[in-house]
Amino acid sequence: MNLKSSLPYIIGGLIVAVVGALFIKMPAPLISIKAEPLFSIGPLTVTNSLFSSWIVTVVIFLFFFMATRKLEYMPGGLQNFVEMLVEGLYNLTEGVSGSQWVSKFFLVPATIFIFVVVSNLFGVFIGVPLSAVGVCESPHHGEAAAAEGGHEADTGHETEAATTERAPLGCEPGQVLVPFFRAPSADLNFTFALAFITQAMAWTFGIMALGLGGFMGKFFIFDKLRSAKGGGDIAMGLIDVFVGLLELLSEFVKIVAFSFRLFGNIFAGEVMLLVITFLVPLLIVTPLIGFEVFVGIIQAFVFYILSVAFYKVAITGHGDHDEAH
Amino acid sequence: MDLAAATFLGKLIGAGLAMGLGAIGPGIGIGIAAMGALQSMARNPDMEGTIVTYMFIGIAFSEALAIFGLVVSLILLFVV
Repeated sequence: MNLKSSLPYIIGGLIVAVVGALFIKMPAPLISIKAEPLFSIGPLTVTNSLFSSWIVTVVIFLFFFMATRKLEYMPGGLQNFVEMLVEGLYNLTEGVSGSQWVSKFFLVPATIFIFVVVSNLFGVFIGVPLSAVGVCESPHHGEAAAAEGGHEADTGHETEAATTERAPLGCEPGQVLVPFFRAPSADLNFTFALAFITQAMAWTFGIMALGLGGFMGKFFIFDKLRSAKGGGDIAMGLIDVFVGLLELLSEFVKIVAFSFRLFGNIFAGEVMLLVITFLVPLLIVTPLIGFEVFVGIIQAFVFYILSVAFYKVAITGHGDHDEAH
Repeated sequence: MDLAAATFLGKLIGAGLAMGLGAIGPGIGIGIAAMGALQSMARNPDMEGTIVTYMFIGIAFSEALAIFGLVVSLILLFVV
């Protein structure tokens, strides 16, 4: 398509964007960094992210049930797609981990990958467009459940003052709109749980492969210090001890990094879509939705491939780095 | 300027600085990772799949730093 024939589209798009920016006033975006409570079952508070993750679970279950209901020797359609997905993930895992551990490494990260992909796409296609569909709740209710005892009056008063200006979309003043849907991965609890499961499995695999002593030996390295003769050896041994302790610390930093990476990417994507929609209501946000789909898939893939890579690191003992390669 | 206005101003400046300064290093790092991956793909196109996989691992590590800055600025804006 040359410039001359595409010019009407460009001009039309610009006109739509300018008219949208001038004449359609969007309400200020509702941005909450934590998932908001929708309702409660007994003592359990169900947030909108948890509710959405149930929907995602049901969707995944139905999809795989439909795909594998009538298994055929020569797959076609849905079964073909699912087999391609699972086989691709399996081969990728085998490429990183080697054929000995692949059946153990494959299961949980691949499950998390599918779950996180569907969660992220749910956020882009349902969570953000329907972010104005929800119930009006007075902030007292939510805060009273979260606050403890004497702080109740203070926090309730404060949040009321803070939220009066964000009460658009037909809610009473002093009430706040709680959307029904929010991407599950835009909740730090969700991503932290996935990260903790991943890292706990890495420790389990490390103990399975190296034994408890061998696994701990990666973090508490005293052998060089014990056999030291002279000042230089002692200094090298101390450095080894320090490196081991850093390694131990990084095992816990990995959990934080995992959870913040997924949460930050998805939550920032949602905030960006909402803010761009607020600034320029029409058309400009469309390519960014495509970008967010890309980011969602890439982040799920990164979560998957990093967990497999960390499992590989965990089963590699201290000192046998050379034979591993 | 009263204390509330000063606090609000500090939050805004801090959030901007956290994201802006925090994105410099990861930006450079991701650029170097992509450069290395492209060069090695040009030299050895057969290894493309493996290289892309490990490139994403490297990018994820340096991107995590920018995400930390982002989370800090979001917390400054919406929570504190």
